Amino acid sequence: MFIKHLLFALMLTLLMGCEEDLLPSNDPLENKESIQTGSTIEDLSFTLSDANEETLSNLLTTHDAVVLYFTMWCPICDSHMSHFRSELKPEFSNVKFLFVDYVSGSVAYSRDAQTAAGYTDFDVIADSNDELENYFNGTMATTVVIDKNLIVQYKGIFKTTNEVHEVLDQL
Amino acid sequence: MNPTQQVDRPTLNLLTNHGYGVGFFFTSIISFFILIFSPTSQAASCCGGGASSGIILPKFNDVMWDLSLANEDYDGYWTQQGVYQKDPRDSTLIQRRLNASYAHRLNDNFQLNSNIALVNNDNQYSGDRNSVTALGDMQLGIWYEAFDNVTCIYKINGWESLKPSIYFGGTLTLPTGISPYTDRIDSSFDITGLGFYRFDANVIIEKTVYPFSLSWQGQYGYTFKRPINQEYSQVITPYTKQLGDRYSNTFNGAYTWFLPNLSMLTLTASLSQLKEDSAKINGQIDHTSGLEKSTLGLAFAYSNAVRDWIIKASFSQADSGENIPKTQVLNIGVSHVY
Repeated sequence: MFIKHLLFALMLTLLMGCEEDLLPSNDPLENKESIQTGSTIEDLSFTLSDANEETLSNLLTTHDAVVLYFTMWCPICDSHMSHFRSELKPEFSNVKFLFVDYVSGSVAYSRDAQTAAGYTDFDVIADSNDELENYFNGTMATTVVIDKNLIVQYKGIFKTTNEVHEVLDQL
Repeated sequence: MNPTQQVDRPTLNLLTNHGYGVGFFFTSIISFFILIFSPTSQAASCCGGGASSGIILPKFNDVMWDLSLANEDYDGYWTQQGVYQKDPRDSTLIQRRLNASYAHRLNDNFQLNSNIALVNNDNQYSGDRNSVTALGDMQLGIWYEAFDNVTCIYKINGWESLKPSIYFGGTLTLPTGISPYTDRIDSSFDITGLGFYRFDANVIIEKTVYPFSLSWQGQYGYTFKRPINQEYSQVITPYTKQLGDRYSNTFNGAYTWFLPNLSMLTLTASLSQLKEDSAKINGQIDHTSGLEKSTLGLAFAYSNAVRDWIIKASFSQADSGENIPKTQVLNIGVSHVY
């Protein structure tokens, strides 16, 4: 009887739409996002956590590439950001690394979070109005590499520094 | 025996939010949750109770159900270097879980159990409010009782009377919750499950000499590798991921009061230590993953004179860790045995 109950519960679980994780797939899915690797983007402007305005084109006059990392100041984000600091930033001095705070509601909140998390040695974009979040369909750990021609050379969820490293090596 | 000594205690599961999100909260990925994810109670004596990976039936009962409500409050996190960081200003991160568990005896020494949770993530983060309710991960478990007679005693009468109760168990976690690897997720605040199949091997050794009880539970968790072709509803280049092996130890010490109306009250203090190795992505070690956590807990359990109803309350707090959120868990629940 108990086994029957278990099977019934499993069937219910499947019917409730959980099959996606119960039967994981490695089939490539069609990427329908407007901005993806290979896309040419417009010159974006944004506000930094120190309240200064900045643009991509301005940053790219002095750097070979801009790397955006979407952070919500969480443990995983901190782990990723610490690897940006220890492994990527020292090796690619010609690249501008920016953290995009897409969760804080104001520039002041962003500045507080940046200071509390100990990342004052990086520039942080205060995306208070979700402009970059919406433009890139960004979420936690979304990473974007933009070259001098405003072409997205990489867009994905940060896994390890290897993916970003390989892209920057080829620039 | 009866389930009187059953008490709640800190679960060893990862936050379903694994590291905030991974479960952000709900991760470590943390990767966060655990997460997970999360089973309910823990044995405090040879008389049976729950366990972090499923409830345990008392020796001479056939069926048990257990309902509990957990409130997990996130209060900052520890970095990979073990440094504590506060959450951003005006942030309140709470995960509530309604756990339903069922245990069924197969014969004198074997029993099965299952657990499912309804998870609510209620977050205010840097001014933004978010709330989502969904199914969590499901667990199916089996326990083998490596003893035939009750080992709880009131008085030590030679070495033979010191024989402990020993349980061996296995628990399979099914990824029925919302993980980062589906298109059913808008943000990391939505995560209610780990997204991986995991098998935990458990052993419990416990001894009660009334009114005192001591127990230890060891757990080894193996997470099965899985393909991933989307994260946070974003299409990605497919890859395979396997979370690291998980090891945990829990020590419990309990004291039982026998009340005048023949009911019983048990107080249990616990110390849990959890470690998860680094994950592997396409076979390569992910150095941003892995976690450690130490948790202290205190629990009360009250059972009626007949010993078929148990009311439980517990509080636990993580006191140190690496790469994982700091949380406080308040849990209340009720069990009934037949």
